[in-house]
Amino acid sequence: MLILEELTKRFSSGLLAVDRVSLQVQAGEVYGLLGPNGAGKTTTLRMVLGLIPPTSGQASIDGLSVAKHPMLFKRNIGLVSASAGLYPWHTPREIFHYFADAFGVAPDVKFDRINHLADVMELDSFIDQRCATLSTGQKQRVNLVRALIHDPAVVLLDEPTLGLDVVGASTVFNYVQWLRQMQKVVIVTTHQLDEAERLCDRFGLLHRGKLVLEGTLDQLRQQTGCSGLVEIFLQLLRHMEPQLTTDPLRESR
Amino acid sequence: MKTNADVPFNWYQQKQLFLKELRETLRDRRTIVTLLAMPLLLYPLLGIGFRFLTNSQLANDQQEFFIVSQTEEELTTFQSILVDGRQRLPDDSTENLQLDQLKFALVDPSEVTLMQRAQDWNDIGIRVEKRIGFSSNQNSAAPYGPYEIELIFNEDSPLSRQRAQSIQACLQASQDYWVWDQLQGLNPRLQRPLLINTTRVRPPPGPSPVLGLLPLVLLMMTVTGGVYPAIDLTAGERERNTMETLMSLPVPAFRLLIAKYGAVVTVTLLTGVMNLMAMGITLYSLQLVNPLFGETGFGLSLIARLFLMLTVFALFYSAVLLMITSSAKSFKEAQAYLIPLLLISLAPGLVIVLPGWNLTVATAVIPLVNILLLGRELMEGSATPLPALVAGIATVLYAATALSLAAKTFGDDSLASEGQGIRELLQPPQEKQSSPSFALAMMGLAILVPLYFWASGFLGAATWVQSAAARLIVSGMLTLLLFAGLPALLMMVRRVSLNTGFRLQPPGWLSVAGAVLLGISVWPLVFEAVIYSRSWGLGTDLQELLKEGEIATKAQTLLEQFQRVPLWLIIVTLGIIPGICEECFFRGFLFSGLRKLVSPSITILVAAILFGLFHVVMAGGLAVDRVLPSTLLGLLLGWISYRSGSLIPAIVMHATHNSLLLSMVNYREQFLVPMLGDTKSNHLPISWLIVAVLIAATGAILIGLGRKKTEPSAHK
Repeated sequence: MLILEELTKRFSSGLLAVDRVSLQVQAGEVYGLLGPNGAGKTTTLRMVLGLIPPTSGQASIDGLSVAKHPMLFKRNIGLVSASAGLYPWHTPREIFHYFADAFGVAPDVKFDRINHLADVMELDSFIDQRCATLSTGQKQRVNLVRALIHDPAVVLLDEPTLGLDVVGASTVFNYVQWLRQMQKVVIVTTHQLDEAERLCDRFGLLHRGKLVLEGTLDQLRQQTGCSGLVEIFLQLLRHMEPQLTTDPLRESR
Repeated sequence: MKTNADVPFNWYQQKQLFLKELRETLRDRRTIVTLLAMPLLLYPLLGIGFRFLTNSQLANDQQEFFIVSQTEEELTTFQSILVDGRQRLPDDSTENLQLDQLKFALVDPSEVTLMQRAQDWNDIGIRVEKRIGFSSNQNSAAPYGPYEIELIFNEDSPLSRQRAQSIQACLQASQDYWVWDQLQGLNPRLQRPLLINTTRVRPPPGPSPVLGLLPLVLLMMTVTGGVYPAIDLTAGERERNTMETLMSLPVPAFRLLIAKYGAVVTVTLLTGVMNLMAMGITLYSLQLVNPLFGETGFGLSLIARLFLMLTVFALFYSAVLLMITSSAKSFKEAQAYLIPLLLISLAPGLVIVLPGWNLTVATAVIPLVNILLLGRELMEGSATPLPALVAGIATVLYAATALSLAAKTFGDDSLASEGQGIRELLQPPQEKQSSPSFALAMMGLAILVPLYFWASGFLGAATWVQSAAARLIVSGMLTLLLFAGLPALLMMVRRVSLNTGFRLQPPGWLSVAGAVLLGISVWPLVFEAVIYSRSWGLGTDLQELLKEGEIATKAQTLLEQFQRVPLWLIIVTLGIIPGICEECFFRGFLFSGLRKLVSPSITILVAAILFGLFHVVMAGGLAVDRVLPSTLLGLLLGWISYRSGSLIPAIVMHATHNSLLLSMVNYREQFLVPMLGDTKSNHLPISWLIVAVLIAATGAILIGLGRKKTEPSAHK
C-alpha cells in the first residue's frame, strides 16, 4: 500500500506547491490524481519518486519510508511519463538491460522478464532497432515496459496518453487493466477526465496544492450532485475561483 | 550504509552504468566527427601548412640574389676588391661562407634603378666612384682605389641585411689589410695593437621549443574531445527528456555522474590517442620530425609522456566540463557556459610560454596553470618530484570537488522547476544540517591545500617574525586557523552544527583511556614503519631517524635553531595544537563529509591516505617515506574515532603521540641514547616493541569495549 501523510512542498521561492496532501492507495487499485494546471500533481509525483525532498510529511510503501530509505523506496516504483524520452542510440533491449541492472534485478531474472514483457507488449518486431528510428506509439510501449522491468509495487503514470493516437491510448488502457490484475498500486495523473473515469477506481482532486475532494465516482457524485468528472471539476473550479471559470458562451446568450 | 547508500554499492552495476554512457556517446555521429574526422583532417592540413611555410622559407633562403651596378667597370672593380677581401678573412668565417653565393649583374638605369632592385628583389646595389682629388694608388700599396663605395640594400629584409653585412666585412678586411701594409711600410717596427682570434662554439641543442607548446596542444585536444560528450551526457539528458527516468533510478546522483565521468574521460582519452596517432603519422609522412622536434625526436618515450599528460588533463577537464554542463538545461545553455571555460583555459596556456614561470610548490596549487607547467616540464624532462606531486594531488582534489559540485546540480529538479540553477547552491540551506555535505568537505580540502602552501611560504619569508618563539606561535595560529577555523567557517556558512559536524559528541571514558594508552605506545611501531619504508629507499640509522622521523623533522630543526624556546611551547604549538586541529579537519569535518557518500571503512581509508599525503607535503621536502607511517597512523585514528563515535579520543591519541615524540627528541641525549646503547641496528630493541604492542593492544581493546556512539544519520 502507498501512503502519503501530510506531504508538503514549499519551494525556496516561497510557493506552496503541495499542501498537506494525505492519501492511501491499495494494491490492485487505480487512483486518479486530477487537477488543473499548477494544482500540484507533478510535484506530488516527484516527491513520491524521490526526485525532490518534501518540506514536511512523508511517503511510504508498505512501511518503507522515502526519507529513511530513498533508494530502496525507488526500487518499488515504476514511472511512466508521456514526455519521457529514450536514448536514441540504444535499442529497446539495451535500455531494458540498463534499467534492470540499475534497479538491481538479478541477471538470471532479467532475461526472462525482458522477454516476457516484450512478448506481452508486442515489441518483438523492433526490440533490436535503435530508439531513434521508432514511432511515437512504439516509444510509448517501450516506456511502458521499462517502467515494469524491476517489477515495482507502485506504478506512477504521469499524463500517460498525452500526444498518443486512439491506438496508443487504447494500449495504455489495456496496460492499466493489466497492472490492476497484477495487484499493482497505480496512480494516474491526467487532464483527460473522460479517460480517467474509465481508468480509475478512485479519484483525488487537487487544487492549489490541496486535496479538495476524494472518493470513488459514486461518492463524488453524491458529494457534488454532478453526474460526471467534467461537471464535478467545473463546479469545483467555479466554487474555488469564480472569476476564472466564467463561460463566455453562456454570458453571450 | 545509510541513506543514499541504503542500496549497497555494486561494481557490476557501476560498470553497466558506465558502459551505457560510453555506448550512447560512441554511437553518436557527432562524437565520431570529433574523434576521427577532426584529427584525421586537422593534422595533415597543419602539417602541409607547416611544410609550405618551411619550404617557402627555404626558397627564400636559397633565392638567387645579385650584386647589381649600372656599369661594367664598377662591377669589375667591386668584384676585384671583394676577391681581395675574401682572402683576408679566415676560411671558416660566416662572412666568407655567405660570399660564396654571390652573383653579379648589370642593370639598365632606364628600366630600373638600383634602389628598386634592392627594394623589390632584395639585391644589393653598388656604386663605385673614384674619390675626387686623389690620384690612383698615391702613397698606397693597395692595388685599387681610392674609391668611394655605396651599398644599397633592403633594410627590412633580414637576408638582405645579412648579405650586406658580409660584404661590408669583406670590404673592411681588405681595407684593414692594405692600411696596415702601408703603416708597416712607414715604420717596420710598428705592431698591431690588437690581434683578434675568434673561437666559434655552439651550445649543445636544447629541447625543442615545440615541446613546450605541446601541453597547450594537448589541452585543446582534451577540451575538444570532452566538450561534446560532457554536454550530451548531462544537459542532453534534460533535452531529450530522459532526466526524470534517470533520476528515478535507485542509484545516487554521484554514482550516475561517476559513470558519466568515466565515459567523458574515456572519450577524451580516445580523442587524445587519435590526435597523437594522426600527429605521429603526419610528422613522419611529411618528414617534419626533425624540423619540429630536433634531436628529441617523436619517439615512444615522448609519446608515453604525452599520454601521461593527456590522462591528467582528461581527468581534470572532464570533471570541470561536467561541473559546468550539469547545471545547464539545454545544449545551447551548456555551450554558452563552456565558452568562458575555453577562454579561461587559454589564458594559463599563454602564461606558461612566458619566461620565469616554472612549476614550484606555489604554482603547483594554481588550477590549470599547474598541470600546464607540469606538462611542459615533463616534455622538457625538467620536472622535479615535489612540485609534481603537489600538482598531482591538487589536481585530483580540484577534480573531486568539481565532480561533487556536479553531482549536486546534476538532476536537481529545481533547475527544471524553479530555474535558479547554481545560485541556489550558494545559498545556505533553510534547515540546520547535522554534518557537512561531501561537496563541502571536498571544497574545504581544495581550499586548504593552496592556503596552507601560501601561508607556509609567507611565514618562511616573513622577516617580521624574528624570534623562534614568535615563529612557533604564528605557526600554531596558522594551524588553528586553517585546520579548524576554515572548516568551522565553511560549516557555519552552510548552517552545519559545529558540534556534530566536527563529531565532538562526548565519548565513553573507556575510549579516552584506550586512546591515551595508544598515544603513549604507538610511536615505536610508527618508527618501525618508517624504518621499513626507508629500507625500500634510503638507508639510515636510528639516531638519524630520530632526527628526521615523523613530526621530529620540524622539531629537530627548531630545537637546534631555538635552543632557548621552552619545551612546553614546542609541545603546545607542534604537538597539541596540530593534534587537535588536524583531527578536527581529517577525522571531523572531512570524515563527516566522506561518510555522506561512502561506507565507514572507505571513509577511514580515504581520510588516512589524504592525511598521509598531506604529511609528505607538509614535511616541506620529499619525505615520501612518511606516507606509510602517517597513513597507518591515520587509519588507527580513523578507527578510534569511528569506533568511539567521537573525535575526542582521536584528538587525545594524536596529541599524546605528538607530545611524547617531541619530548623524546628534546631529551634524547639524556634518555633515549643511553637506553639504546650504541646499537648499530636500525631497529628498536625487540623488548621495546613487545611492551609497546602489549600497551597498544590494551588500548585498542579498551576502545573496542567502549560504548559505540551512533552516528547522526546523514542526508544528502
